[in-house]
Amino acid sequence: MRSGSLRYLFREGVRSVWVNRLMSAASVGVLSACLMLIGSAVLLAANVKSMVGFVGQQNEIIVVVSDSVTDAQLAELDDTIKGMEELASVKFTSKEQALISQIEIYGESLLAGFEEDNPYPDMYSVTVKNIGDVERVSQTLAEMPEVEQVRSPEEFADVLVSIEKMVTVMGALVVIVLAVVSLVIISNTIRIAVFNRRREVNIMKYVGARDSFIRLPFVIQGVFFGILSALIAFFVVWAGYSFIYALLAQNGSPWIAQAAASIIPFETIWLPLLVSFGGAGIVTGMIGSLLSLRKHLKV
Amino acid sequence: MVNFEHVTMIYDNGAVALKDINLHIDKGEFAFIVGASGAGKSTLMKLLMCELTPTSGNIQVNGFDLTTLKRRKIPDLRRTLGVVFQDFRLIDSMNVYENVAFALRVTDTSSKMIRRRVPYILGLVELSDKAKCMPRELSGGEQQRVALARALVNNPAFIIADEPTGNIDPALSYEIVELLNEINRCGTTILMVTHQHELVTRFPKRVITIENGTIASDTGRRGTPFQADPAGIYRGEASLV
Repeated sequence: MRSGSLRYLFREGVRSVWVNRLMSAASVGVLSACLMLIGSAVLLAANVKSMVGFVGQQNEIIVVVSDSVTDAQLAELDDTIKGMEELASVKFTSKEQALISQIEIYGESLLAGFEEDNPYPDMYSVTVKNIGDVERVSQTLAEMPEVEQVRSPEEFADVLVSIEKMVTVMGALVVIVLAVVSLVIISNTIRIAVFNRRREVNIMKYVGARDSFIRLPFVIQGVFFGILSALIAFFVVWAGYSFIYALLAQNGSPWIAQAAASIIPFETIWLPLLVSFGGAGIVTGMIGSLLSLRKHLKV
Repeated sequence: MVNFEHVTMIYDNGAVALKDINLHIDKGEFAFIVGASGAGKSTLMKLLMCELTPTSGNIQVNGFDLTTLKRRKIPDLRRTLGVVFQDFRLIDSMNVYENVAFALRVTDTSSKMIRRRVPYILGLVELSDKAKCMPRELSGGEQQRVALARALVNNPAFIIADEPTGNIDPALSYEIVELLNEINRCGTTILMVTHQHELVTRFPKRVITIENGTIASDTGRRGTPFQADPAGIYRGEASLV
């Protein structure tokens, strides 16, 4: 194909966006609305998961070490616990530290004499990376011979895990439904746009244009719609996200402020968001154009 | 140039459009195709442009064997044809010049060639001064001349005109056929479908009459005596419906 022809086709693609501007606006509007909805659903699900994870990490499992362990056994236990991959953090509190902290709270007089016969055990407080592992980890720890007792927030963990599961399933469901609805609307919108230009396509066929030649302006148009929609959706989502973030951070309630702290900052997600919006927009625009065009090429 | 051998066309719904048609048109001929609505004229046109493939029989157009022509080779065939329709089929959003240039652009012609060729053809159909006009600003006759210019601009060896004067008032119809006649004189083969009796009588050319999917009469190739309205359609002897 000549470079002159390519230039012409490119110009044609851009020109037809303007000539059919009402239809173009409709296509871009529908596509960006769909991207926004899907993007918001994904972001919401990701943030709920992040919050659940945050809350989950606040829940410590307390491991009480048996009083009868030797120093060697304690060292071995220390290695084992610190080597567990499921754990996010491990904090050791020795008998002595426990006593000191208690003295600080209750005063020396009340706890006088305990230095000789320390009633406090050695203790580990650990947190898990994944809240779903709480039960299993607790069990493993309880089975260790050096461990006397394990206290874990299992019921609370169960609630969190079910919330997380629900959010994942609901999020996926919402995204799938939205994606299907979007595809139907988009393909219809583009079909109307192509239908409006069927005459042009028909004439092209009669004067001997090849299918690839006819398709190219539509592909360019589809890609253009995709990029434009992706940009619109991206900036709207960005604005909305920042607004909600600011709203939560300003809230006086410490609980909400703490939850806001676990919101995924926009800086870390803008690139994947923009790339997936762009990709989804371009692919949908292009495939939509080509599929709608197919029928009109059979002349 | 055009050769139909025992061509039969039956549509998917069982309607028989053409029955065992044998037709030969030589290079440089000018032939009218006449016949009532539903006689099979449109089917014949669609077969010529390879829009349809016949149920049986062979068709050759401009050296292409249409019965074996691959789908991706159809554009090559159409580039050797110029087609004019009753409804002009101009692109409303393009001016006259662009409409004509369009046929060259979509066939990958260089810009230099387009700049040279389009004004020449517009001059030929006497529309040079309307080059910047939009189709809606033109009369029916002028619009058809633009369509004709578009059909001519690729310098086709064969022009198919499907009732080109159907939407134009009679006085201007002559103009269009006269133009086709001029083009024919330069060696281009012309096949024109028409309903207008006056045209057939005024321009003594070969007349092929189609009735119920068969060729009812053919005044033959060039050289055979001219006989207007051989089937008696326009004298009221045969039914038009």
